[in-house]
Amino acid sequence: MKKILAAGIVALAIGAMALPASAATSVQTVDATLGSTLAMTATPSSTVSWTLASTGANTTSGGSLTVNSNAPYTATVTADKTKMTEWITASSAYASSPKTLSTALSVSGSRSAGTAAVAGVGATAVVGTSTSLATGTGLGTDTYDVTLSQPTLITDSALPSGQTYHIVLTYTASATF
Amino acid sequence: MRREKVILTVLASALLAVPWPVRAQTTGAVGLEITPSQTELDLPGHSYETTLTLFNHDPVTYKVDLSLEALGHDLDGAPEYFPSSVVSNAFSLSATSFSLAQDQKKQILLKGAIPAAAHSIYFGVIAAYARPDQQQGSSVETRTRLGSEFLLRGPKPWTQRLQITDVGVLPGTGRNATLYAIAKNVGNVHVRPTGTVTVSKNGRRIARFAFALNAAHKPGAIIPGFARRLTAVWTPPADLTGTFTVTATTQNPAAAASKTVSFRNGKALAPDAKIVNLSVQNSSGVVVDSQVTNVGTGALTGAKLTFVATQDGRFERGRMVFPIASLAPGATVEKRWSPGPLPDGAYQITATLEQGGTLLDQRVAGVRVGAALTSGARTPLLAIAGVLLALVLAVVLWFLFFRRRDEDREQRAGSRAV
Repeated sequence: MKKILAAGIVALAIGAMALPASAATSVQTVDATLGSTLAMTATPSSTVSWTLASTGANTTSGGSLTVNSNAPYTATVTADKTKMTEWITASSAYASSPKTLSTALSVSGSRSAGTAAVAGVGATAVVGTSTSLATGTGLGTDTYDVTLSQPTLITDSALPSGQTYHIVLTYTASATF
Repeated sequence: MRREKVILTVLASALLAVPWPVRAQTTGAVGLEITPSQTELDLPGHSYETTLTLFNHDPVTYKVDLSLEALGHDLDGAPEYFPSSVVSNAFSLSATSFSLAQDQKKQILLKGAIPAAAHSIYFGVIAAYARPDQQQGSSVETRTRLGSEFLLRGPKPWTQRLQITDVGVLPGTGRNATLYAIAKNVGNVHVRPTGTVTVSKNGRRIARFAFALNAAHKPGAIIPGFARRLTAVWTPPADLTGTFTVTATTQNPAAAASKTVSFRNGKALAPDAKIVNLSVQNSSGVVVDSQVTNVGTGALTGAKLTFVATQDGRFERGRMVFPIASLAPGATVEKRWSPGPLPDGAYQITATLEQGGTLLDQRVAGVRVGAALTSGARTPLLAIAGVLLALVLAVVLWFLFFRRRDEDREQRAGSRAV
């Protein structure tokens, strides 16, 4: 009798514990935010010693840019000088009264690889301020091959040994707004 | 056999226990990553703080330098960053220079407030980074930067106002033409207008298009003080000849403007010239260099290039207008401006190319004159510390004064008793 009573109490206790779970309806709201993110890598420039022809269109590879984003982005290129400018190699500085090439450098981006469903689009930027080099819709990776073009004229001055024409390009990736 | 089992078990345990490097991010992650890349918020107050995360996915160690710069954009909406003492006084970063090895991340606290007198602030946290071999020994040095944009609006009321400064049509590629409106934000917070452009003849509508969106369901933003070109591509009939009216209308906020344009055999007859270069340097004075190229099919006549130097985007400190009498198709003209001595500060140099009432192009560049100010976001803390120090000194001096006075009294009392 005691055993039956004990079993009954245990069964009731279990039932009592299980009852609220089966009778109540629990609503769990899950909200999640996913922040915009942007990454870029640039391969080193291959233009360590760019030998320009005295006249004509000189082109060389400027390496590549790979952009990885989950939102639309814009890649721009800016330069520290209007045109390639006389540089003293020994002092790693521009000449005090520098010569410059007569034509501006242009930089073009051409998409060569990537995983983005809608491929990014490259553009040609003449050295200037915030000139668009590429735009993409994001949601993956876009790789752009960068080509540098520096036209020269016979009126451009040759430089002595230890001096080069020099420029600093800054690539900036930002979200499109 | 048993020994072998033990050895295998030990090896398996060791393999599981060793913290093998794991790429924490999704497949395909490359380079230096910044999160968030864009933040657009309407704040309940003026204060704001958040955490930015930088993550290096590349198999190199990057030297990273962070800075705060004002955010603007060119006519086509490409982001532009400028030095700004307003931004560097309003916000600060918990760290500005550090190195990140592969798979390392660093969290940075951005903290500050929209200035009390302002309704909004627009800036970028710029992460400049370089691999060891990136910047040396090349005739073309390359540097790389990531921008994390912040578009912050303070509490209402706002003034959302747009002015359409120009409407027109540009010859496009092939048979296409680009209908456009130049919309300038003359309010005090950023806006994202939508709108349409129509082409009509004697009141009869020939074509109507919505302006292109920046992204799906998202019109492009226009920051206060900046202008943006809203566009729609049209393929006009091949025999379209004569004069027509182009009307642009925007919503959110509302604005409208019209202009008469000409076509001949489906081709827009309009000047098309670009500011292909704008460079600002500060070495023994600010020097602005710019080039204008006629990219249209006819001669560009009666144009002008205007440079304006504005301190912190608010106070005009210099202006120069260069007339461009005539420029043949494909030709380029260079203009140089030295604005003379400028007070120390952060400057925006705006170059505007116009012909008659047509705005052909506009670019903005930034330059800093003099040394950068230290972040003003810490100024209140320094002030509080100074006041506290003064209070402590005052209490100590007061205490010493009274103690000395009491001692003197006791001494005098003692002398009288004796």
